[in-house]
Amino acid sequence: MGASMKVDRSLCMWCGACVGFCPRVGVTLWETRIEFNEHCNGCGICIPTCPVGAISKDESDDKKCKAKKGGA
Amino acid sequence: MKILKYDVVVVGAGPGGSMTAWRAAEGGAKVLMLEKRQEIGSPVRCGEGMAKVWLNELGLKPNPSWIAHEVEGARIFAPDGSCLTVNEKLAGNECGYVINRDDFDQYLAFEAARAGADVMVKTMATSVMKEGNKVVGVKARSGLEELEIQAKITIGADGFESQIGRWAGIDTNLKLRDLNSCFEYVMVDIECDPRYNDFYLGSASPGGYVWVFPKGKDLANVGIGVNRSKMKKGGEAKMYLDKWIQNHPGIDKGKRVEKIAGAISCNMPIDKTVDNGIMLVGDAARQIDPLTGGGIATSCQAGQIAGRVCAEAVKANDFSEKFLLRYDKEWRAKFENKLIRNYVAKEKLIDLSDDIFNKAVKALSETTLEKITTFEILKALERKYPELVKELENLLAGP
Repeated sequence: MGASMKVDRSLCMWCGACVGFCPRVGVTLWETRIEFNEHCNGCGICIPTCPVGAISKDESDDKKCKAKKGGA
Repeated sequence: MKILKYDVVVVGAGPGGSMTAWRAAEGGAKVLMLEKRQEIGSPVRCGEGMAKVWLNELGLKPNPSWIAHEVEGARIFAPDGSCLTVNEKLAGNECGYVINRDDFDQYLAFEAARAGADVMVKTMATSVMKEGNKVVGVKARSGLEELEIQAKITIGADGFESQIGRWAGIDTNLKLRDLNSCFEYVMVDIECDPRYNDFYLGSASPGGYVWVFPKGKDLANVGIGVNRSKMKKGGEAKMYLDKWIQNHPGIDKGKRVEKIAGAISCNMPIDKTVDNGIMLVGDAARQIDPLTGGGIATSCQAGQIAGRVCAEAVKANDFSEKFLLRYDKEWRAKFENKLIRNYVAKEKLIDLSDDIFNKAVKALSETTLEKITTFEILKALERKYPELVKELENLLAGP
């Protein structure tokens, strides 16, 4: 559910660069809050797109996903 | 769920949205314009350089409320410091004002409101409503209230994010090379030449350029665009700009009083900007000049046309793609050729080496040009450096 990306709120400048460049429209800017949605597949194309480096992969979540997949 | 009914719902109150709302309302349509932010025009996401020749044609009078500064021309700097000065006459429509974008956006939105458009701020469109193959409005959230806004025409003027169009099934996705990631400081107490908008080319700003647009004698917007295809990790736009400023002591001595981030599309015009019940305008339609990154003029021009077509569609009671294609045809007739030409130029410039930039700027600064157009530049270069033009032959061939 798009939870594999995280945004550092102290760096994010709400510019929408990640939103417009996401090929899946998997991220939305709610005025001052970036929110990844169910269309995000964690591809990470948004990471270098961010002018200020506010986006990263949520590794803890990655592990969780893998664990879940392993368990299924 | 509260239901509202309008002829036209405009999503986004930037220049494209407001121009559309203004002209549609003027033409008798019942218009609602949504803006997701609590304040129109703020925070600014723009270098604020603007040409002036197009204003008159749209019936916009230069207004001290939004003009920060007027420049005489532009200077283009090569990496070795050589400089091509382009006066206003030569630059044609490429330079003129440095504006206050927040004030400009507010001015246009207020005019749209005065012409009869309703406006709702802090109201975010959350989805596009469809009936069969036609768009019939948007759902939105305003504070705690969920809205269903039924409209005969939906205008996607939601800027770079361009979600409305994509939710409706219009492809506005960008390739790696068709995006510039941008960062800017407003800087005060710097040394700059208030007569010129300055552009710095070369590998210090890979695939893009650094701009210094003066807003006063010691005040300027100092920004950078870096092509996305040249970026490896997050934050590089800011990193390249910080490094560039460090290497320019007259700028470096100043104080950074505002930070601005953003992204600019630099693509070939998209195939489709309308569908049944929907039109896209401005940045949302990727109508940005791919070479300069300028989009205020094209967005306003497109908005002017879109607004008129809205009013015509309401009168004809026809909101089909076929009818709305009037808008698509008209904006293409107005400026598509220029976008295509500048896209081809941008594609070439992205990969030029510093050495070529140095030679080209030096050659041009020693030549008298009739006009600064891509074609004139290449003709002049060809006389001086035939081998250089070979490198640039895609440009010369044009689209």
